[in-house]
Amino acid sequence: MLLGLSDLSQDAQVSFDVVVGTGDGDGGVTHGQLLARLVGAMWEGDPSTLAAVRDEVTAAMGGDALVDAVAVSANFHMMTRIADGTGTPLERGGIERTAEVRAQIGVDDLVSRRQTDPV
Amino acid sequence: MYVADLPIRDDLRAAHEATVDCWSRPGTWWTAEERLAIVAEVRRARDADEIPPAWVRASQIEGAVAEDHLLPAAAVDAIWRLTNHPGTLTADWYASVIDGFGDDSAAITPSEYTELVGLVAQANSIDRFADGLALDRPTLPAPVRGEPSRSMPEGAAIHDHWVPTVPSEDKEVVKALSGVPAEKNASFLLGDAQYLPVAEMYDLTADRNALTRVQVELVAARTSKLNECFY
Repeated sequence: MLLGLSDLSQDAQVSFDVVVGTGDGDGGVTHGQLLARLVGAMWEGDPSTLAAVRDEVTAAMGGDALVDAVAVSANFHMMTRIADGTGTPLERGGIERTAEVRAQIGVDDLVSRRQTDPV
Repeated sequence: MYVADLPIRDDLRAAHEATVDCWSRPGTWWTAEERLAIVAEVRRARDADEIPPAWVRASQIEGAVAEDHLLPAAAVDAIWRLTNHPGTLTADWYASVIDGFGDDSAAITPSEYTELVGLVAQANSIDRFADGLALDRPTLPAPVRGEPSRSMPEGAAIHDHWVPTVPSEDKEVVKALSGVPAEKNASFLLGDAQYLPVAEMYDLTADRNALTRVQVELVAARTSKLNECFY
């Protein structure tokens, strides 16, 4: 699921700290930190934290953006389960293209990496 | 569905309604009752007071799973693991599920497993959306009577995934559920509305609704990272 951001990062000054969750900046993405916190709150599921972040996103970006961001995150709760649940291998070209990004994000040590050989 | 003041797009609402409706109809390998039981079990797994660690099967925990469950124990265990620990799945674990963890009466077929993955993934997605916006989760409809189609698409076999897939030029993740085309279609119906239509996926200049494309990809990547998904 990293291919899109990897390709986009070639044309934009995108830092991957915000993806990893180690930085406190926007990572070169408008409202990047706020969106990352929304995703994190959805992941954790604490209702009061979620409510607070939702209010922040609505105030800063609008209700349409809030709904769209929640929908995108919800979609990747689906796609990750499809990919990992079916043993989906990465395309070899994809591995080469995203090697640097993968190193920055630290996904090479994940269990899901060890279980699938690229094709 | 979704009584709220939030500006939920019509296409998004329609995709969720169509998906929930599909859950209540006979599938390819599971009956409507079994499909709804799979979705209900996803909710039990997510909402459990104590989520067991990945290596503990839910069916082995006293009181966690009904003894007269409609689904085979391996299916229930797979639902809990896929829901709560998707980043820990391994080829050995998949083989154990198909083997019923050594109990023939609990085993499921690779095609049944594939349909289950599709349903579990969709249910996690739709409920995460509702929870994320503090909406009521969709009510599960009554099951529609009928038999599963039990049809395998031509060419479906084990290739590069753990599960049977149909060879094509598509990306590997697009092929993942191709062994059960109805679930592939259902997942991509959701994906078109929630993320991007496949045809637009490789146009990196396209913004999406209220978000820029780079914002969309940031949300996607952060969610994938939290799920510990390598793909």
